[in-house]
Amino acid sequence: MPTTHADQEIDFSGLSYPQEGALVSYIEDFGKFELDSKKGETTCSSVLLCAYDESVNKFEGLEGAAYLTSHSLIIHGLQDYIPVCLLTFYFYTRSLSISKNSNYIKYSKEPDVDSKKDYIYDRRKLLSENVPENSIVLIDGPIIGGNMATATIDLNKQLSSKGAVPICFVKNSSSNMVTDNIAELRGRYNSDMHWAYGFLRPGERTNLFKYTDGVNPNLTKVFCYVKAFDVSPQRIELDLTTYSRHAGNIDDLFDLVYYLLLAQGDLRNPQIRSIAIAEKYARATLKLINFEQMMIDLGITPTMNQERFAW
Amino acid sequence: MWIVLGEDRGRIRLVSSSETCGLLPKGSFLTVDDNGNKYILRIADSQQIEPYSPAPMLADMDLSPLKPDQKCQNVVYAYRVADLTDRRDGLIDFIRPQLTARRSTQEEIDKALAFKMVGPRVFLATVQGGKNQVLVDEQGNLIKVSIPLEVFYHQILICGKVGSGKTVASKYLAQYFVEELEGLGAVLAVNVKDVDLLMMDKPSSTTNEAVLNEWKSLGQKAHGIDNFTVYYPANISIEPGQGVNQDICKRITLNVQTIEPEALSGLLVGVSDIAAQHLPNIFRSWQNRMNRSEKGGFTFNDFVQYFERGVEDKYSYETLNARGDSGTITIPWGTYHNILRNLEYAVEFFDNEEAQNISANDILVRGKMSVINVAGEKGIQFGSVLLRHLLKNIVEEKQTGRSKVPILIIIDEVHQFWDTTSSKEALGELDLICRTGRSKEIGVIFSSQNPSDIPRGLSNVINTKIFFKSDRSSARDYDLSVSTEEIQNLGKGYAIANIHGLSQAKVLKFPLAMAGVFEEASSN
Repeated sequence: MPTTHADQEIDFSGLSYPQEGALVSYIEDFGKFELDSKKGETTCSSVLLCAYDESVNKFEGLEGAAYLTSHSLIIHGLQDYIPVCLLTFYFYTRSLSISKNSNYIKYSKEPDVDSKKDYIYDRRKLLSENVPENSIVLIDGPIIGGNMATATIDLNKQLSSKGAVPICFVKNSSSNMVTDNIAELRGRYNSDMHWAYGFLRPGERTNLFKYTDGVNPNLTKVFCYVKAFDVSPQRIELDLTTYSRHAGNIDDLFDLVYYLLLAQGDLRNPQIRSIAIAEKYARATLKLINFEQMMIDLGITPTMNQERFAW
Repeated sequence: MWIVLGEDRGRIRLVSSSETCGLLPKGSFLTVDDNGNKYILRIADSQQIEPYSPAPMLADMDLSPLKPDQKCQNVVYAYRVADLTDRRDGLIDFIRPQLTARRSTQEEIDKALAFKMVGPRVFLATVQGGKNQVLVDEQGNLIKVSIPLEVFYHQILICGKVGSGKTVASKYLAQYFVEELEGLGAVLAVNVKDVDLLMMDKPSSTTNEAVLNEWKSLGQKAHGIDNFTVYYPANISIEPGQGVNQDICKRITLNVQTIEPEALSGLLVGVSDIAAQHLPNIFRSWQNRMNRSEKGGFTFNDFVQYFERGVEDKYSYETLNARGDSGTITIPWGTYHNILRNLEYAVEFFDNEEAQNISANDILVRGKMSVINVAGEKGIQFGSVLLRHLLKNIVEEKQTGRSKVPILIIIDEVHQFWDTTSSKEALGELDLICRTGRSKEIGVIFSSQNPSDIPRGLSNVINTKIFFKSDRSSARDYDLSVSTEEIQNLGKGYAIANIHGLSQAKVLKFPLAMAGVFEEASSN
């Protein structure tokens, strides 16, 4: 097993909806709504839940960068969580001579960008093939927009055809989709999270907002902020199609989300319980491979940063 | 099914598979299969783990938990007790991670632990928390084990609180000794309270399904011991209302002419070892003189009067030691009075014309169980003298080869007969038996509520220790994580054991004796 874990968070900031999008409207009246954990408990026992998270190891070599990613989907079984994990490995290099000698080494001018693309395609593959029918899919990370919007549209279509309901969760974000677009809030807050933290009491959510992708106007998401405990809120995102289909019982979904935040019970780092379990599996499966040693065995020369920080 | 995780400080660590929904109790056996090779493990510790470690918040808010979060697994730590392999290169197989293990079968346990089929059979059992169970294989069959016969001759200590099953276990072993031992042995037991051991001629009675099932598994059923005699001092009586069969009871007395002088030290419990050694030599000298005189017909009362007159000789007495050396001894004034008081107290034990004398020949009879009843007033003092007398006789009979009958002696509450501080010398024949019992086929079972009751000089020579429910016991001797609470809460008949030649059988369940145990319908 690796002595140092090289887990890293994927930076979705470039892949989320760009800030130049337009906040079209409030879907509900501006305000806040109390969440009901008891109703969430009831919903939880009547729906099939699954959750997705990933964990990534990156190895920076002089010859290029390697990414080992564990995509983890867990399904709530009757007595246990059922994990489905996909481990992927990519090596990106700017060297044509290195890449042309192998089918498995990718030539890339922007390894960071390409690694995210591969990540998104693999995630889509795992989810579309393994999410059970009529389930609620809780996904760690934002709805992917920008130039990867097609992948999101495809995934939504595939999940929709299974009757599945994808819901995305964003824990850390400095976006100001709300605070920039509502005149009364403009300039008063550092970010939407900053605003929502003060606006909400624990156990509440904001009203739903609708926001349209600046690149692809066909891609519109619906979101709100949820504050489970007296710490930074989370943003919950659904694509417009999903929302439209479930608008009638949307409160049940938010109550469910609240219940699952309570189930995790972490006051300092609130997380959806199911996503936390998926994360555990992602990390555990990643540790099955001694990634760093494997790279060294393959003759990849670590950069100084890799040597010093080992991610 | 359990999955091997690896080794942790000499113990194999395993975790239960998903379909296993319970804890494997301590004392259980697992078999790891590896391509035809088998490794037998004994569970030393068994714990519950919760892989998802859910927070208590939902329950605290009166919300029901997520079912998968409640998943538990069983992690066990096991000692490797045997390898069933053909490996001959001097190395030992690895027990590889991710091999699977299942509960061992009777056959595997017999093979692995080299259990012999000869000897009293008991059940392997488990202990976990406050729960005891007889060990079963995957098919639910009770796992049995035979206590090696040598155990009898390496001395046994049975400890336990009242009602824990120690007397029943003694009865079970006694019944085996007189009924099933090859050639049949003889049993001498001392009954110190109630009618505990006085009804071994009667079949046990029980309606307890578990007991009946155990008997069935052993091919046994309730039956009394055919050749059974209760001896009791002539100065006490066994009331008919006690349920004891009067036809098998015999009154006995001590004969001053034939009593072993050393046996009189049994009267002096509480006196220092050295002081207690004077009396036998004084008595021997007197007895020798009286036996040689032509008067005959002397009694123990004559000796008491002789001893009393010692005050006229300034407490000076002639002595004769066991080697035949004569001498003179002057005893201190305090010792004189102490001995005199005990002698006067014991007069009624001797020379009763309506009772018979008992000797080793009455005891050393194949297939016979003899019980000396010393329950009641003055019984212990009587028993204390008689036991020394008989032990001396028995050892002589065996050493001279006049008797080849194996003998098992059961002494309940041994501290009442010998001081717990008794030295090796003061223990006399008892110490000799414990050290030479194997060659002479003399076994002793010491039964007591507390291990500290055992005379200090004996505890080192007792090779088998069986602890039923006890107040105190040293769990660290068992290679088993048994807590004080678990020992204090052992079920009736269950014991933690350290058995000579059967070191891997740590937790046992003794079957109910087929004779002399009468359970209420509701009892356990």
